[in-house]
Amino acid sequence: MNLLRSEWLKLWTTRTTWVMLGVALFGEALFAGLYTGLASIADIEGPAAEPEGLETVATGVGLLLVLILVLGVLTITTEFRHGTSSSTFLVSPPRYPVLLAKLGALLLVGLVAGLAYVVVNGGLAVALFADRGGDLPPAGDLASVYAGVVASYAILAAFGLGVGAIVRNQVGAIIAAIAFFFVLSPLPELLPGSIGDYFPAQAIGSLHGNPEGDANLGQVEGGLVLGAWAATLVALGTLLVCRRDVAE
Amino acid sequence: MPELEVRNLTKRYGKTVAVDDLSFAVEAGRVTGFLGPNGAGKTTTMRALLGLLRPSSGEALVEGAPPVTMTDPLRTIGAALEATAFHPGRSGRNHLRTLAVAAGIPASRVEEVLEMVELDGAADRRVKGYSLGMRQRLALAAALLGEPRILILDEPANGLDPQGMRWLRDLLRDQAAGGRTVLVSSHLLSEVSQTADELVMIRGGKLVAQTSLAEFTGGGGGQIRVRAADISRLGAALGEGTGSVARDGDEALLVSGVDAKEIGELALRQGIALHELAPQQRSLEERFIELMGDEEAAA
Repeated sequence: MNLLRSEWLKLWTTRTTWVMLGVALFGEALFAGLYTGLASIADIEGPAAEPEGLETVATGVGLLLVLILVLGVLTITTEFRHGTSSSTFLVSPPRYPVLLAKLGALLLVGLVAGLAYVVVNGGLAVALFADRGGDLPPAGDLASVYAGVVASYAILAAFGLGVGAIVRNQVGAIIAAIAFFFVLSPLPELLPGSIGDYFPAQAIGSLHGNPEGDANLGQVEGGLVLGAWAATLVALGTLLVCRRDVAE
Repeated sequence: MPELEVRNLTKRYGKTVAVDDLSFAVEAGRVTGFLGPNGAGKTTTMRALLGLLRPSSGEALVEGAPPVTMTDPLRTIGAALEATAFHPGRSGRNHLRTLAVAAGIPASRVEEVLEMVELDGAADRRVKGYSLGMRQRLALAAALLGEPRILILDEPANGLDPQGMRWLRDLLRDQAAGGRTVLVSSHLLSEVSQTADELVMIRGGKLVAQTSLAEFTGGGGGQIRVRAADISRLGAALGEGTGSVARDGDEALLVSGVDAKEIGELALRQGIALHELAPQQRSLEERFIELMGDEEAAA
């Protein structure tokens, strides 16, 4: 518990977290606002009004996803980069509790960021739909999309932590995390069959209740698949951090 | 039981052997200076004692047990490893707070150590703007946070101004006087000679010597520098004794094997006025270079 508090404190005592989340939320608001604002009501209330309305509401999720992923990576790589890993692991010589604390803190940050996103995005959506006279998508659908978004932020932060712990080098880990998640993991979708559903890119679509995609998994299954990826990476990263020397 | 001990510690990095079958023990209640040229393996040994790296073979023990088994690490052992190991964007106070919170140490202790190292004025500035001396003080503050029984400090005097050095010296002496264990590495030999009671010297990852400071600097053969009205005659008279006599410049002799009392009495019998009679304390530096040189020759 002390370690978790310490990791939480670490996250908020540098500007990185504030700036990244601030930029991301501002960007989301801008993007979602523009998208919705520029779309005609006809687009929103087209024949398939519901799905497109949902899509519009949940648009611009990606930027915050990237930043949350990077934040997860930084949580561990900055320790190695600046050498604070020595004092961190001196407080807890068996090192895995530190990794668990970082995981806990990141899941919390993911939830906070997700909720902030919901407030910003939801507020905007309500305002714009009201202004245009359109009908909001059903509250139940909206809630499940937003729940998926919040969960995806938390899981992606953990995903980043796992990659950071494995790679250690800051730049290398950021590149690896982004490349794996956004470039490599969508590729299996091109394969025949449903194998692509079990890779992170498609799983996150499922978790978001992807209205237009061809995901075969439900939201919960998508969340579980994504969670399993993150858990595997964190477990592997933790194992490596415990085994390797802490030295620069 | 020694507070700190390494037994046959070996650490290899690929083909490089950083520490080679090293064994020594560090006792409580004194300051132990850890000396050796750059790359001798001092930092590697210290990191092994802190559980930050795993030995290739042998073991590093803290209070008789491997460091990973420490139940209350920050109250057992405090370490200042390198003055640069801070997140540049975090303030000094927040750096200490993250450690204090993790170890369950009250926030008031953070303020105490900040005052002790005289950083309270700069505590809310980001570490990015700290001088090397300030970083060194912050590292020491972190080491002292848990009021540990053991202190491991790697080159803590680096970057400190003369007042800072003096403060550090007093701090280390106080800690040792209070029954704590202090292991401090340094390449500033004059600094070590003013602080350490015990010396552990390594080179190429191997132990060269472990001895008390007094023994080490005193054990130089006990030379005495002599100046007199007629040094040629005095030299001749001394040469007839058992001692060996060497010229030290034109005006002085370096005599060994005879003590000052004998020289003084001999001079009186010979009717030669003595101008100086000074037993020579060899500096740690001289002895150190001599010893490391010997090792080089032997290698």
